[in-house]
Amino acid sequence: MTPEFTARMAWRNIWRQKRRTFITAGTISLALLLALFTRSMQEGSYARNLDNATRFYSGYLQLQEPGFSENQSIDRLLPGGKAFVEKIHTIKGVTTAVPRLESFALGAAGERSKGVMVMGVAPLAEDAYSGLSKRVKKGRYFASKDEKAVLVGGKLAEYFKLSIGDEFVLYGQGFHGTMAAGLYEVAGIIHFPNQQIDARIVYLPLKTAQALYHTGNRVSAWVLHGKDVKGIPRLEKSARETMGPDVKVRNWADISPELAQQITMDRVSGIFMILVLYGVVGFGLFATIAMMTLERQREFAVMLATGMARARLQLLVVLESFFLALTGVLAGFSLAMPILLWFFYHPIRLTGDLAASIEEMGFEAVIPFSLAPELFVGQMLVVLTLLLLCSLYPLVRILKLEIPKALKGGL
Amino acid sequence: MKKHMIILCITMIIISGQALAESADEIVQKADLKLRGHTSYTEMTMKIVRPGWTRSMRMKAWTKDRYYSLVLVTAPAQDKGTSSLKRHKEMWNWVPSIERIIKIAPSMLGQSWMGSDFTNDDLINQSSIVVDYTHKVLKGEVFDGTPCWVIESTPKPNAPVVWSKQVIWISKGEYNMRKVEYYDEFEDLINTMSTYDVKTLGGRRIPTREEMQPADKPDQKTVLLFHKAEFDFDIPTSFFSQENMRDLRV
Repeated sequence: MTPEFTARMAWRNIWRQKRRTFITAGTISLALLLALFTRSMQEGSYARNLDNATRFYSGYLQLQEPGFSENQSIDRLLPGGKAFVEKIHTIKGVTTAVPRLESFALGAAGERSKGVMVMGVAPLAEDAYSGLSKRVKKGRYFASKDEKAVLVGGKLAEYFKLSIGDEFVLYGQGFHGTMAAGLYEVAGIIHFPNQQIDARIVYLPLKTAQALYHTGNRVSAWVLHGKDVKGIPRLEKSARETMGPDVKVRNWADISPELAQQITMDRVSGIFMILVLYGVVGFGLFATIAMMTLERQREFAVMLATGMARARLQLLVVLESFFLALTGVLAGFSLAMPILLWFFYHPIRLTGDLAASIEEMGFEAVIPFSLAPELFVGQMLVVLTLLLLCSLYPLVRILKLEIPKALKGGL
Repeated sequence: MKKHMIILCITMIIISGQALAESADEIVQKADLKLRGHTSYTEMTMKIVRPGWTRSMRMKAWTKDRYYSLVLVTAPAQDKGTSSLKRHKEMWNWVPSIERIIKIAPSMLGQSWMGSDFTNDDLINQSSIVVDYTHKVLKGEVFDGTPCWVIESTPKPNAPVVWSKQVIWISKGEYNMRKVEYYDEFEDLINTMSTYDVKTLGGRRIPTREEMQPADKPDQKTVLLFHKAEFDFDIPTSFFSQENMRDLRV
């Protein structure tokens, strides 16, 4: 008996019980559809949201002076000159690089003062990268790259009772122990959904911040972006190789660990739900395979008695289970593909309050889908594992089959 | 006669014992008064030492009782005229480059003063060691060749202070603060201040060099060198005003 013949026989065998095969394969395909739909939506949102969320602070990667992350000292800065920028753009995969000068200062207005987080940004480049101007709720965005104007977080403005056009003082320590003091006009009030940031942040044009801190053209970080989230590890490696040991390369998960944790939590809970679903499907598959084995004890005994090798019979039964699962997987994929493709090109657009609150967080109010091949491979592997586990039963059963007893109809 | 001798001996022991057991509060109070008098005027240089750079500032300081103090920066040129004023529990900075007075929020008292290793609180609120802390003599110890009392100071309940423990070395006889260890609420040593070069300045024998050393950064410190001092002269309280802070000429 050739393997092809065994395969053909297995294929015919599963269709001896058409209804049962349809139901089992149907269960698998629906589970697969649901799992693919969920995971594709999850991974799609992570990729899109990560791309969006990282723009405001961490970027995909940041280049920093090696000692900066320790205590964010204003003395630990990177060059901001042309030569350095050109070097950054030789990193493979970099699409955007924006400079920032981040430090602390005492903010003061009238009789009040409070420690604030100062962020010097290049007005045009920053707006193109993170869309900062869209966060301005009152007043205006920076009009020139060196004006003595600030954008103040909403909660911070409330604390200082600031309105547009008021003066605002920043006072602190500059480069190499110099005194940093500046008087600015409040150009706009920006809103951040993150309350902690909203209550602390003050934006300045980069050149103005550099003048305040006496840093020359130095910056505290170069924020890098690449084509997509998937390429981050490669981008990181290339950045390390290009920039050498004098520049520290930090990725978004290192800079914003809470964002990384949030994604991990969400992903794990999604995967857990799917595993529960597969657990149910697995028992369904097992029931079918068990039936396919038990109801044919006599048939197996006859085949063995007439000279079929046990191994051949085992192969036959495993092939039957395999074809059953394969039918389910193929049906599942062919059901899922058009749906996922449709949503990939036409992501679900949210409306109303939900959309407003999502947009406020700096995300687009759409639910994007992912078509990453590893998603499909992953689901297929899960079904195959289930199948392997379930096939153990008939394998053992056939091995232990006592021909005379089974011929008489006993189990 | 013998009986009288015994009584005398006992009396002497009691007297000398009392002299030995001068209370920790008194020691700290004397040391504080020694350093600032009722009023004081000092001229000093502050050197900030960091890996890779150092910076030095000259300044003048006035204090009156434990409630008023005024520090004026006289060099380098770009910071000239900057001043800090303390009246009771409030503190302001005058920044001539932007012609504005900045009120220092109480939450900023623990922050660095003009980039040095001294906090705003260290520099301007020193006298609170007498008012806000309770003191206990731990032992005697020699520091820099001088016998000292080692005194542990813990803040009184609800005292508005930055440190949750200070250990102070005060020289016996001269009542100079020779060393202070500052601890945070986790009992971790944060800063150590040591003083050296005891000389006669303004008619008093006082240390003329103070070094503030952060515990976790061995390669950085701030040094204060005293050049001139005067004590217990008349100065009106109105001297310590926002107007005067602004008008002081270097």
